[in-house]
Amino acid sequence: MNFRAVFHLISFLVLFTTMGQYASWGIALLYHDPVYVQTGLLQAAFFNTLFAALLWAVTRGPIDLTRRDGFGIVTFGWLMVAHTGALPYVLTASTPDAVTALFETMSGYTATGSTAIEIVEDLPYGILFWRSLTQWFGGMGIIVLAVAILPFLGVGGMQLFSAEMSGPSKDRLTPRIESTAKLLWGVYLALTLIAFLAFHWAGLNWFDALNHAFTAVATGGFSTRTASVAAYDSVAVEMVFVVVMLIGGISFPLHYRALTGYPKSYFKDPQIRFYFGLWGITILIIALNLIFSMGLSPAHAFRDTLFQVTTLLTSTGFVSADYNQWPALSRGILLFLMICGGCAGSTAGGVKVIRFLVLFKKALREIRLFMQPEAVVQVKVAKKTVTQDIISKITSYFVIYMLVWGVATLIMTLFLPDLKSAFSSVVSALGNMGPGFGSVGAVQNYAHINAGGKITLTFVMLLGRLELFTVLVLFLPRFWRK
Amino acid sequence: MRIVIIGAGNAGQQLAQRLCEERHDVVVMDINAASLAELEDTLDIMTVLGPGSSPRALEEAQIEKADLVVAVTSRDEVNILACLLAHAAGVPHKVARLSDSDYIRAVGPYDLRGMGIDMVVSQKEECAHDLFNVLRMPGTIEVVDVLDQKAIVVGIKIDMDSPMAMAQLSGFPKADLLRRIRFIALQRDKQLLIPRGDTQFMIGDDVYLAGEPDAVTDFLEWAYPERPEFQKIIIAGGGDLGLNLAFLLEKTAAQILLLEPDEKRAQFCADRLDTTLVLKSDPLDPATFEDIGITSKTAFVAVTDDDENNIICCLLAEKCGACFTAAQVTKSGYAPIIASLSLLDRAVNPYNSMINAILRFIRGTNIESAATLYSLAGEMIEVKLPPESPWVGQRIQDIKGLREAIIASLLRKDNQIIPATGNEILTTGDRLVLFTLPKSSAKVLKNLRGNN
Repeated sequence: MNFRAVFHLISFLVLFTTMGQYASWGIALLYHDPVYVQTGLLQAAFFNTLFAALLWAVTRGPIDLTRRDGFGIVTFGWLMVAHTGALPYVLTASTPDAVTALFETMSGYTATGSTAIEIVEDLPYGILFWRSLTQWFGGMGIIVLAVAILPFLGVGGMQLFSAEMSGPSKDRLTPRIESTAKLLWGVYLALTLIAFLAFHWAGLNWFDALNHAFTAVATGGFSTRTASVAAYDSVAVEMVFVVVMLIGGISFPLHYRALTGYPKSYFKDPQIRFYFGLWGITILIIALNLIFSMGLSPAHAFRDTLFQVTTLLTSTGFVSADYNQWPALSRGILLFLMICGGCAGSTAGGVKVIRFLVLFKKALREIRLFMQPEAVVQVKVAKKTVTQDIISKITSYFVIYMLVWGVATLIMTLFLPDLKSAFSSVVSALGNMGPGFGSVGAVQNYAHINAGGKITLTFVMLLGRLELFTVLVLFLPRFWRK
Repeated sequence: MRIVIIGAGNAGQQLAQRLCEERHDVVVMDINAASLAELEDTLDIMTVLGPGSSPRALEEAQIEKADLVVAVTSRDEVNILACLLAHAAGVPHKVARLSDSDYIRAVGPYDLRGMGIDMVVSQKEECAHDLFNVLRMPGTIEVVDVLDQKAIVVGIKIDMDSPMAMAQLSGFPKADLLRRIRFIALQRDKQLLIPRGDTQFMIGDDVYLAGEPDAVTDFLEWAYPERPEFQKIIIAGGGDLGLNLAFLLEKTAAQILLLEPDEKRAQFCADRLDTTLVLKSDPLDPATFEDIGITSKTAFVAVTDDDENNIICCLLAEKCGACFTAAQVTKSGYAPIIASLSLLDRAVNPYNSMINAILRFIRGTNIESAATLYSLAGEMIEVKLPPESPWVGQRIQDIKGLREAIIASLLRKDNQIIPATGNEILTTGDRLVLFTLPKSSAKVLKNLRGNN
């Protein structure tokens, strides 16, 4: 790997994200945070700028990247911005220790939304803003941003782009990847702005509206309240959240097509149909389950279910009701939704709807072939045959996903009291969700887990966000050989 | 500019690479998924799977948004149909590569240009012309006609017994010859140099110069006193290129031999040709070489469809004493090896002529031609100076936009070729031949047009 060129590009990533720290400092000034917070944020921003400049200076030279360097840039780039992004927490003493700060930052950038902070209201405005901003950066992706801004990435740009965008096959909106990345960020920015105004209209103050716009479009899940969305206890607010999260869970290339005069694309896309079908059916089943076994009123049941199903399907992780108290059937369905995730090309995490769709059709095909071996059956999505190549990629992705889940669960049992908490903490981290079950459930947080557990989950979040392969190739000995 | 290339073969690949380097929006269509995947891996392009003649595939490639469509599949019919469909979709510029000369020579209602295809490129014919020019002027490695053939640009290689070796421009042995020609650039290993007064010519340099044909001929006579005209020219391979070349060469005094192993094709060649001796023999067979008798005044040109065979034939011919060898080499990956081992005197790539045709379209208005040269990593552009250009009325040495380019030749309105020395003042309507450094042609042209 060409370390010089790789870290030269990473210096730009650090610089971009540090701009957000200056903005947080501005927020701290605007809302009159205590002086130590203001100086802490400015120090962090200044130190990171200096670091980025130094890194840039010592690694200068021609940029010629191979495929391998692309993986290095993405993985090390994410690790680097997670570390530099943790500095504001440390310098303002917002977290008890550095590991918690790193956990919180990675949970931000990967748009997971698990928090290790007991009482969120105690955080100063500047830090709250930075916390939400990391989710917004990570939602569409810092590498995609870099591809949009840095003109010299060229071919390498596609490599980087596909390493960070989610889903099995990447859509190019334009021939050049730079302009595709620009369009995607443009759509993202526009949707965030609309969400911001909608939240304010629903009754949130400007600060809360901005923070939640960042974290909802990014399907992140950080809130400015410890009780999350439940703190507002308003149907209007919850409905706006549901709409924004659903939009965040739809692929952004599709949004672009719809916004540029092809609104029918939404209805033609098989992934969308599956996504909304799943959403509707699970809401119905869970709501009925709640009505009959818990005796809730239909209005109450549907309101809670609508919000919780949306937040978990899109891997956002806001909380409006404690689903830990729900019957086993409902919790089982919620667990499945956590694994399933949103559409490919969206800001949502999880395995992604399209992969499940293909796996489902593949399974169906095998069963049909079992009955009638001489039949020629193709796996088709939207009337187009999915090539064997992509099917095999998706299958192996699923297998590795399950494998990582298993191994990480075993490790987490060392740090958590029960198996339920352990496996759900990993599902939640791997799917960039936020809350899990048991001691990491909807109304709990991750503060009680010790440093080892936090580091494990931090790494699992990165694995989940970069969709496994990009990170895992770095563990192959062959990768490091010349 | 959005450019759709139909066909991801050798030609399409080289074209896509070139256009990507210039940061155009490139879409490549092909029916072979594997070659598209390979191309997308190395270039920043969009690919569409499907035949170029299929309306569905063209729609998927969003052909109506394209500024230029280039059809370079191996089938003439597909290329023509793709261009016609693109024309119907409203694409402003269409270029088709065709190999059948019936299409190219068609006139009246059958003229493809009348149906909306702006340019029909027959790479074999252009390539044959390229080789013909070189063979006509012994000592050169490339000859390009510019300014309506009133001037030529010539590339030469400086060898051991050339009087130019170790010479400097200041104090050049033949000052009278030097006044009528202009040195443009020279290539030394991987380095591109613009000759100045103190530049010393070295053995192995590829030097390019421009001037009126007579002036250049006089110069070559001095620079290569030992090189008379070729007495015999042997062409290996009777394909379209070989046949075209033989046809052109029949006008010269040299004896022409055409080797074609396939009997039917050899007969076909003999039908078409007049004074050429067509031999039904395999150019790879050493016995053939004894038969045909190669002397020190023989040029050997290998133009079969097989790159490797062409190179081997040329090596065999050189071993037998041929004084000039040239081969058709289509794989762009071979170029560096051929150059560094000096295997051949000249390799021709038939795709170059097509790339040059495309370049002309991309460079925009006022541009009469744009071309890449064989061994210089820059670009040569023929352009008419528009009245609004900031260059008008300036002395050449004072023009700021010329830092990355050199004026090779200059044609006044009165049809006079004028040596482009530093003191010459440019006027509206002057036609210039510019040589620009790699990747700076767009910038230089922007300067010239003055629309910053």
